[in-house]
This record gives sequence, structure tokens and C-alpha cells, in this order.
Amino acid sequence: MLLEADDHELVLQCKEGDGREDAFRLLLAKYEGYVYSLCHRSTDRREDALELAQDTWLRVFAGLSGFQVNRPFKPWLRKITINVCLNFLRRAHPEILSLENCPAPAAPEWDDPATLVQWTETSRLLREAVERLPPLHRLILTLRHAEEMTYEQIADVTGFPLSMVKTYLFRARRSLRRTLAGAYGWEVTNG
Amino acid sequence: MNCGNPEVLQAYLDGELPADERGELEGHLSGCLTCRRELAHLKLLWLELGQEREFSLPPEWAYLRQQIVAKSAADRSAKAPDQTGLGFWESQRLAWQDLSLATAYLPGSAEIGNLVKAAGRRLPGLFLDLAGTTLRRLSRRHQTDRKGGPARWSWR
Ligand SMILES: [Zn+2]
Repeated sequence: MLLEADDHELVLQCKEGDGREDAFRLLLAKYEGYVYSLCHRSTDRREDALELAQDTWLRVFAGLSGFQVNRPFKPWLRKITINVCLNFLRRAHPEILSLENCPAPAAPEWDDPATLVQWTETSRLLREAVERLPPLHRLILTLRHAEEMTYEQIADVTGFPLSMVKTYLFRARRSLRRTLAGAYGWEVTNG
Repeated sequence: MNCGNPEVLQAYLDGELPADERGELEGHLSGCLTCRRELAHLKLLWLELGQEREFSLPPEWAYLRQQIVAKSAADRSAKAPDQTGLGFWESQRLAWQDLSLATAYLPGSAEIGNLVKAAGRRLPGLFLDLAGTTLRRLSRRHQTDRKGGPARWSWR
């Protein structure tokens, strides 16, 4: 029954149940991949991503006593994860969080566009292009496309001004759009 | 509108364009092949971005997960349970451990120690009531202390 427990029950168990350690494990099993993936968007190094994920979970479990169980768990988990990632980025790259220095994503590299028309190949190229984006672009892109958050929600959860969120998103996708253009042989009319 | 403005098209696909601008754009799209084509390109990109892959957890995560659970469980048992009284785990420890030893490391726990000496293990109910109160007080102190960063006390 605990195996099928929903977030609400699991969180209750984590807070006060006798099987707290089991509940910790179940909550981890359910969301550890999600948290790790989100952390991985913020850093290129696997070791950093692991550390960020661990830090996130320690904060989550320590913070559960103050968490209201009737609220949805996942957005709260996401917010803590994003905060941990942004703190890391601030420490690791203080320069990237100022809009003036917002780096333009690296231009895609094209060796032989003619061979790159297959759909699977394009997906792979695009994924590589996403991975080449600066970490903050990648994180915001993830919040928009994987998490399906609105501009407003991203600004809210990151604490960035709305204009900054938009700029990062537009630049990241313009760069990826160029990657696709290269892969499909589109003319690059709009930058 | 600004024909071919990629930011407008992006915001449109994000569903973030205000209603009036959306109407304006849709009107423009019906007559502009360039923008329709660009929109199709962007849609393809959106489709790809929507299928973000998950990173699989590396093997060393198993060890880190173990640490997380152990640490979090220890943290939680160090804190007195809020409104629920003593949890099962704490009461088991209090009932079956050598009590004077178990409490010797608690700062300010003299009253528990004295009670233990007087009552031995035969009155766990009375003891637990008192211990519960003391623990709550201690844990409040402990929580405020923690910001200063002294060594964490433990049950052992
Ligand atoms: Zn147009």
C-alpha cells in the first residue's frame, strides 16, 4: 500500500510516521531522477550534479517539518531544487547572472550539413546543441519546455526579472533554431 | 507587426502573447508565407524541446541516497516530534537503552538523569512524559544553536 502511496501520504509518513526511513526512500525513488536531471541542466559536471541533487534532498527532508501537507509536493520540490542550482551557479559563475553579461549561446558548428537530414540525427544534434548552451540558458529552457512553466512562473521561482527570463529564452532558442536550420538546410533568414 | 520578428513568434508558441497581439499575428500569418514557414520551423523545435530526456542516475547515487536517508533520519530523531509526542523510535530507545548512558550526552539533561537513577526502568511512562517535555525544550534550544554551528549532539 505504501508502494502506491501518493505524494500526500508519503509526505505525511516522512513527517511523522513510524516508517519514516521507508517513506524517505519511496519519495526518493519517485523523484530522484527528476531532481538529478534538473540539477544536471545547471552543470556540465556529473560530480556537481550529484552533489546538487544530494544537497537538494537533504534540504527537502529537513524542510518537510515546515511543509504543509495539503499543498502539492512537486512544485515545492522543484523550487528547492532550482534554488540549490541557482546558488551553485552564483558561486561557480557569478558573472552569468547579470543580464549585461548574458552570454550569447555558442554558434552551432556545421561540418557537413548535407549528411545531417535524418530526423534521429537531427534530434541528436539538437540535444548536443542544448548541452552546449550556457547552464543558465539550459536551466531556463528546461523550466519552460520540460516543466511547462510560464514566463511569470519562471521569473517567480528564479527571482529573475521577467525581461531577463525572456531574453535568456529567446537567445537560447534562436541559437537552437540555427542548429535546426543547419540540419535541415533551411535558409537562416531571421537570425 | 514586425514581419518575421522571431520573438513575437516564440512568445506566440509559448502561449504568452496578449490576446490583441495574438489576433494581429494570426491575421498577419494568414497572408505571409515567410512567417508561416518560420512558425513551422519553430514548431519543430518546440516539438523536439518538449521531448527532453532524463539523465539516468549514475551508480554512485546509491551511496549518496543511503547518506541522505541516514542523515535525514538522524536529523529528524534529534528534533523532538512536534505535536505528536515522542515517536516510536525515540520511545524505544529511551525504554530499552541504558538510560543514564543514553542521556549523559544531552546538555542540560540533569533532571532526566536524576529521574532515571530514582526510577530505573520500571516507570517508562512517567519517564517518557518528562523526557518528552525536556526533549522539546532541548530541541528548541538545539535548533536555535544550530545556526551558530556547534557540533550536533547525538543520542549515542
Ligand atoms: Zn510575415
